[in-house]
Amino acid sequence: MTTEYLSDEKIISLFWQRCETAITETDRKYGNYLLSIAYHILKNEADSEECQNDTYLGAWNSIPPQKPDMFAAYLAKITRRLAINRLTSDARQKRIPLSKIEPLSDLESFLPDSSNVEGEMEAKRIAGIISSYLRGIKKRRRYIFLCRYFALYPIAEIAARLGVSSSTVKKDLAKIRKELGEILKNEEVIL
Amino acid sequence: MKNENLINAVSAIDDDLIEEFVKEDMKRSDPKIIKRKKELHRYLYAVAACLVLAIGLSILMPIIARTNRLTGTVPLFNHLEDPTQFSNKTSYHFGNFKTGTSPSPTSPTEMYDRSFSIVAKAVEVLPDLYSIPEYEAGTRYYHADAYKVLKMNVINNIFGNGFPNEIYYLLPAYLDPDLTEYQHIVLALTQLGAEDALLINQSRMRYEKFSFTFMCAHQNNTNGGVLAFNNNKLDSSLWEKKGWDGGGLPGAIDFPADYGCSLDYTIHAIQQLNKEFTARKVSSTKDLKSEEAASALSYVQPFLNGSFIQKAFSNEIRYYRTISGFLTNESISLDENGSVKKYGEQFTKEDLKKLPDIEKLMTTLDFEKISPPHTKNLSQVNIDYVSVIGKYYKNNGVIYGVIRINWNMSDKKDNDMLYRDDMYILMTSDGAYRPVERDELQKYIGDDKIINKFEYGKISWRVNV
Repeated sequence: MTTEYLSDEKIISLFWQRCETAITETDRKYGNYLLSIAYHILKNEADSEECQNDTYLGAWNSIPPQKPDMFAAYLAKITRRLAINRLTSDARQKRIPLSKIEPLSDLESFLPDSSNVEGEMEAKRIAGIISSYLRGIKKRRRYIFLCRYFALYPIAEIAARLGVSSSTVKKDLAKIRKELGEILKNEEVIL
Repeated sequence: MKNENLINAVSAIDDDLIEEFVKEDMKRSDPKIIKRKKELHRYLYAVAACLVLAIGLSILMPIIARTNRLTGTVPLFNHLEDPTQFSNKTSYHFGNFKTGTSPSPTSPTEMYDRSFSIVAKAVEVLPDLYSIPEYEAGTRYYHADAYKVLKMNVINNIFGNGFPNEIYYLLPAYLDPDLTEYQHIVLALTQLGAEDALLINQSRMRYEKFSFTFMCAHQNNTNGGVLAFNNNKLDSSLWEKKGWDGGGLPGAIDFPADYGCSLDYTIHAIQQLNKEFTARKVSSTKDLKSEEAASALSYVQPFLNGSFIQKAFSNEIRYYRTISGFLTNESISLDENGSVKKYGEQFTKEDLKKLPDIEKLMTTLDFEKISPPHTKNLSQVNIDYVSVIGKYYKNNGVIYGVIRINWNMSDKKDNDMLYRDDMYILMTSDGAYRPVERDELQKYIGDDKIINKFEYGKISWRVNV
């Protein structure tokens, strides 16, 4: 069995051709990873598989007309959004606070409360600030930040991926939070 | 709504950054790559840590012999007759505090297979917040900003006999410290406890001294270095408490606990891990039985010649004498070949009876009223941070105490412009003390790194991201 994967461009062109091999190839190349993203959030295999499948459905339904330049990011964001939506929905039904998304509580103090429309715009503005910050730091730190706050990995897992101790990861995260906090404060994001 | 904004903000990070991350993460998720990294790290750690444990065990044996004297309650005492109230405006760090340290283990199993382990019962969470002053001993050691202190009764030594009956366990304040609801707590103590620890009580702004203090290393609460049991069964509710995170444990390979396992299972598993590690280590550890090494180890054993704390580096282990929690200029190092190096003059038992009292002076000086002596434009600066450390020296047979005050300041109009200043107070055994400049201090204590090298009045710039 070949381990060569189609390029992202070729997979996207299969989507555009409405060829179902697009899904097969996406699954081969990114399936395990997308499943892992979902699992880290949901901690449940069945739900994670559903999110994975819904991602493929989402991609199928949106490509075309979309033609994502960054296919991996496109898929990862869909999966992440789906998993968090499911978690949010589960939490609301059980009246449980979103404390399960524990890593994000680290950043909570940086962000203001606001209404829906304003909140979305504000979220985009904040995303822009965070993106600028991430571009200015070293790749390793960027990786740590995104492991923790995008992929929501536990500290121990980040440490294992980097081959360092958990305390090293925590130190880096603490520094990142401090730096980002100052930037957001200067941008008048913090109330 | 705040959470939603947060989720949305992180979700909307630029695509190219996420793309880079996903590609990198997929590579790192490759099981072969993770295994190779872990093997390399474990090898490097083993080289450093085997030395620590070999020496740690030989240090612990004298503790074993002496603990018969350490019965009953270990007193908590505050020996300040007139506690000095510190200012809230600036941050003060006093004294030097160290525990004996060992390298941070990289895996949960390593916390147990090469450390001292005990079963204890948490009996009380002291009400106040404590802080640990920064210290200097070569490499930095990460401390939390504040700690809670947990008083614990030692029930059983799993590995390493003869712990005192009572210890104090420092928990970073971001953790829920209340472990009193658990009948048994198993601790991996990768650090030897400090015999005398001077802590700052932040709540009451005063010193307090503790005996047999151990620290919860930051990886302890994420890697299962603290395990809770109720009715002799592992109680995973510990990891629901604020700040505690089992990190996906237990259940990892070789980890000495699993969901629902008994306390006896864990105790036996830890003992087995220790045995296996010792057996592996004996075959790889260099011979430390030279006469010189044996003599050095004998000299630094606890209670005999004073208090020493150990710090392991990549190819040596170093013992630093401390007096009332303050560093001194006396230390001894042993390298992996058993070669011994001595630094500074040795403090004798007679010396220890006639020391200048750094602690007392620190608590009586009013640091609010001491101005940075070399800074001319004081009205134009804010004092951001003041740190105070103390250290003992023996030089040419004479004992000195030194207190150094460091000021970190910023310009009022542009707080990216930074200034520094310092002051040194030299103390002698007759109780006299006076401020001295750097050049003069060097004549008494030699060229020690307590003496700063920065230029007075020189502006430095805050590094922004």
